[in-house]
Amino acid sequence: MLEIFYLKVFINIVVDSSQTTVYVENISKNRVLNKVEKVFSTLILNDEVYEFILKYMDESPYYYISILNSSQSQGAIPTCDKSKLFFYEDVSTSNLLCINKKWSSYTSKNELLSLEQRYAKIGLDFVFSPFVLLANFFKKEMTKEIALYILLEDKFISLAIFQHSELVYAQYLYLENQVEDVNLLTYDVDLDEGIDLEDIDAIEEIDMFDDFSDIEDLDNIDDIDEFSDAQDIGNDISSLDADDSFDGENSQETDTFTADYQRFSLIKNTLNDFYNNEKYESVFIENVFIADGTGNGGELTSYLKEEMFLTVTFRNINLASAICDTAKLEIE
Amino acid sequence: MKYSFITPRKKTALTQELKLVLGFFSMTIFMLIATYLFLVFKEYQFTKNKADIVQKRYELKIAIEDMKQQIGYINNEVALSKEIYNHNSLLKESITNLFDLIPSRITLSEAKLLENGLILYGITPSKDTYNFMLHAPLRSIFHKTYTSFYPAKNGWYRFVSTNYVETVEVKEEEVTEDED
Repeated sequence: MLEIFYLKVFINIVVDSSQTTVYVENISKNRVLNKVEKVFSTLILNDEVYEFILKYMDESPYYYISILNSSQSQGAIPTCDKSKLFFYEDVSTSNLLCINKKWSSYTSKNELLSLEQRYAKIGLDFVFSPFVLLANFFKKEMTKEIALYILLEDKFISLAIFQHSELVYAQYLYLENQVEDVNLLTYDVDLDEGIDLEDIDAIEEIDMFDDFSDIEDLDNIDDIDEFSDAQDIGNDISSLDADDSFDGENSQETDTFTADYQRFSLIKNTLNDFYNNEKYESVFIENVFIADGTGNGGELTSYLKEEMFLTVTFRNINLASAICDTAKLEIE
Repeated sequence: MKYSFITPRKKTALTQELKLVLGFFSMTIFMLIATYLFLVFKEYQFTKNKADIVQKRYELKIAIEDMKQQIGYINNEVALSKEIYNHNSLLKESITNLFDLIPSRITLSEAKLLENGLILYGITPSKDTYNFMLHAPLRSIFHKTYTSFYPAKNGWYRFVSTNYVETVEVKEEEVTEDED
């Protein structure tokens, strides 16, 4: 009853690999009065973050603290039927959440508890799965034909294949897990000579490329001009001036490139898994929708277009704002 | 819980500050209501007391009227008793005086005391003895005196003396004395 007389304060927290972003929206009668976003160079709830959040918590008793779940043991399953869940994943130690009675999102109970304990000082009201954010972000697009939807975070990639709003396949991948492998792949790359993805021996050894060649639709792929553009990526990379001895800017660009390449590899692996996994009906994916929460995923689009011949729709997403939108939906 | 793994904490508008303010106002309103009720009760009590007092006053007034009437009656009774007493005293004194008046030579055979008079029957040796020794004092006491003589066998005279006092005048005098 009294709720209408109070502000609603949505406090949204996103923790990535190096910083914590806190986004606050003050809403009164469905009207946004104030938006504040502040980035803290910490991964924990230190005094600075606590004081900042506490200031907004004190504005109204109707405050909602939301956080994006970053548990490594999370994912999505294309069913809500408990009898079918174990066909896809062992979810005995997970918290399950049925979304729209069509598909389920799950996360480790222990990690969820650990997350709540980490933020016990301020308490949490909502913990959202990145798949939920992804589904809400591409709500309109998901009603169409089968497509791969990707949410890029700093450390994670959420991949989900939806067909007519029905989840078909999902993977939640941790970028750092692949770092060592990717480093191995990129360690010997001589920037002077450029990076030709086709020339990387390590990549050639990966089975997934063989698997890709099995796809009938790609049999005549040589006809596609863009395929040769892969060389251009190498040329672009080689255009980086190696003589500049990798100042900060170049170092950052290299990091971005590495991260994008890691993501590209993960997407490729995931698609390969989807095509080969007997649990799923192998349907060729032509369209990819990317929600980029990192702001650095531009190169990935080129890779996907040029290497995998996918039609890519790229959109930037403000993760904290997307969490806020989902929190609003949650309390409706 | 449509999209979140956890349910939100229950939100309430009753923050500590609001609880304090509400507590303060509740206490104030409670005290005002309590004071109001106390005053209403007191007013009712006073009204009731007032009604009781008015009733008592009315009853007392009636009692006073009654008492006044009783006092008046008693006063009248007292006056009457006093009058009777005086009258009796007067009568007693008159009778005493009367018997004192009777000389030894005259013998009374009967005396009738009337309300405003005296009738004496007796025997006297002679009319002169009566006239000198009894008639004179009687005339000094009574306003009207009538005497009849009858000769007795032994030569003496039986007499009947009728004496009257004018009562109206006496009463008027007594009333005048009371008013004084």
